Amino acid sequence: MRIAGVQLSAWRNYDQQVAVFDSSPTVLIGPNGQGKTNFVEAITYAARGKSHRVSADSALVRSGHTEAHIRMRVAHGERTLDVDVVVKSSGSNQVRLNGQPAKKRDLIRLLPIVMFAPEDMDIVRGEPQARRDFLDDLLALSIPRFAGVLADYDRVVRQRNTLLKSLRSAPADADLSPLDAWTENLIVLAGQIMRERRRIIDRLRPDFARDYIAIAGGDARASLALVESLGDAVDSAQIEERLRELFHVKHSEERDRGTTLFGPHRDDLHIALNELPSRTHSSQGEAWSLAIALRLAMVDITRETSTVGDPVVILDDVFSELDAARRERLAAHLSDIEHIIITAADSASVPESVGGMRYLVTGGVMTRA
Amino acid sequence: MYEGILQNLIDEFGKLPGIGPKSAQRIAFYIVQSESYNPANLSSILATIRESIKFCEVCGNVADDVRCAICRDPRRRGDMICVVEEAKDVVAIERTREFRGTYHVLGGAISPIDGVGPADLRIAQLLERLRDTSITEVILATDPNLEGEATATYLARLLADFGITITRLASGLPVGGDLEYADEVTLGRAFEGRTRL
Ligand SMILES: [Zn+2]
Repeated sequence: MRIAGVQLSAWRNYDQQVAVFDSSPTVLIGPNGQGKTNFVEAITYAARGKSHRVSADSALVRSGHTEAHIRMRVAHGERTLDVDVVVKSSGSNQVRLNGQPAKKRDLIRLLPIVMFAPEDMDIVRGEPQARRDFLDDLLALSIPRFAGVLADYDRVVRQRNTLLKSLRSAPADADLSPLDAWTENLIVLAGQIMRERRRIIDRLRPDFARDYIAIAGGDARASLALVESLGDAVDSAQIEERLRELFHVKHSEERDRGTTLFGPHRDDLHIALNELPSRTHSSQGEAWSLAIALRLAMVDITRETSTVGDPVVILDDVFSELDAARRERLAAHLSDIEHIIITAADSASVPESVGGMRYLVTGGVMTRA
Repeated sequence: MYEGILQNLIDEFGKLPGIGPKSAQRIAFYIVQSESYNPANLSSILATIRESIKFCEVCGNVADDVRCAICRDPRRRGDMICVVEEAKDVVAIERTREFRGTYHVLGGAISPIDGVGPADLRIAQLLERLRDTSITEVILATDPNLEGEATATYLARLLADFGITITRLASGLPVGGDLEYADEVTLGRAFEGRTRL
């Protein structure tokens, strides 16, 4: 898949911008704070129906306007798809595909995108949430219906937590049968997610180890393991049973804390290099190579499962974090991707071998260099 | 903003569900200016609607009498009750012509985020109806979304010891949706293929 063109109005610091891309890579050069990341954020917003940077849409609309528009045309072979998004400073956004109203959960399947960004360092060194987000993105990219399953699970957890909080002040003999109903629904969704996460990590593991060596050189062993809230060595067929047991035994603790203590929203991904936990034991360079290897493995898996060709790969300000050798290896590794979009503050950080069409971004205006 | 009474009219329309500011303005101008439209009809209906519409004391459906037309109809089967969230779901199911029993309208679904628990729904009235031993099947036809599922799960457990067959509409309904938006054929099929819980 490639992005053929993007049109923005009143988006972030852009007033009106039209950009047509007829070749790959697309390289956006400009000082920080001028609009490079805002531009790629518009692309990911159109492809996901939400921002990867902020949760409130109001920050996305240019000041003095009530709504922003993103129009994007993507192409896969001869077929094109037009995405139209209206982002409102207050109220919910509207997404249209070829003019027809669309659900956000349908977007990811039609518009696969893998973005590499400085925040990816959090996957290696940050809180478990960053690693869960990575796994969930990967699941949604590789199994079309999973975007919906994950959104449902998220809502069931919120419903159940709200109920647990309200039970905190209730008498000890309060009726728990509504809680049981939510627990049962949560278990059904949790089981599906946990099984698919196990499967996707098994699939990710060899690609990740190979991609790490491809970027970092040497022969270090990069490995992945899932750490589940329901404990070790639970057979895939027994996940639901084990969860049911835990919720039964621990329900008073859950009520005291007002939160759901077991399930995929409490799991973590353990990343290691030569058996040492990377969260605490990796150097800056190693952590970067691990983060990039995870994204590259995501590209590999998405390429295998996508029905619309390669995912569009976005490298947002990533080359500047790498030494010259790693830059070259990353560029070489991605050279056969149909469309890559690269942003950089300094054009010297983008390897010569990348080539492509260059654009300058200053003050919310993009021009061909 | 418009002057006085016109803006009041626009504001009133804007308070209704599904009507945004632009539509509110368009409807208001249509009422004010259209020669073919007589607003007196609407205003006389609106003036008395709340007093005229009643809710069936048996099933909670909208009614023009103490009991709704379905509960009054002697041809309806008395051994099956179909449990739905809203009165509009009754209309959707009636369109399929698959169901000849009576209904029970809960008035919503369990949703802790919205502060709706079992006590806020017409569940006590349902239990009261089930003391009638001629009832042999309860069909749970809550919406095919998370809150509808949770409500169905809750009711299925609550009714488990009543010695009644409890069924749930077959899957195949659009997930995450409202029952009323399912087309007649899909909804009819879901009825036919309902599964025993
Ligand atoms: Zn009735």
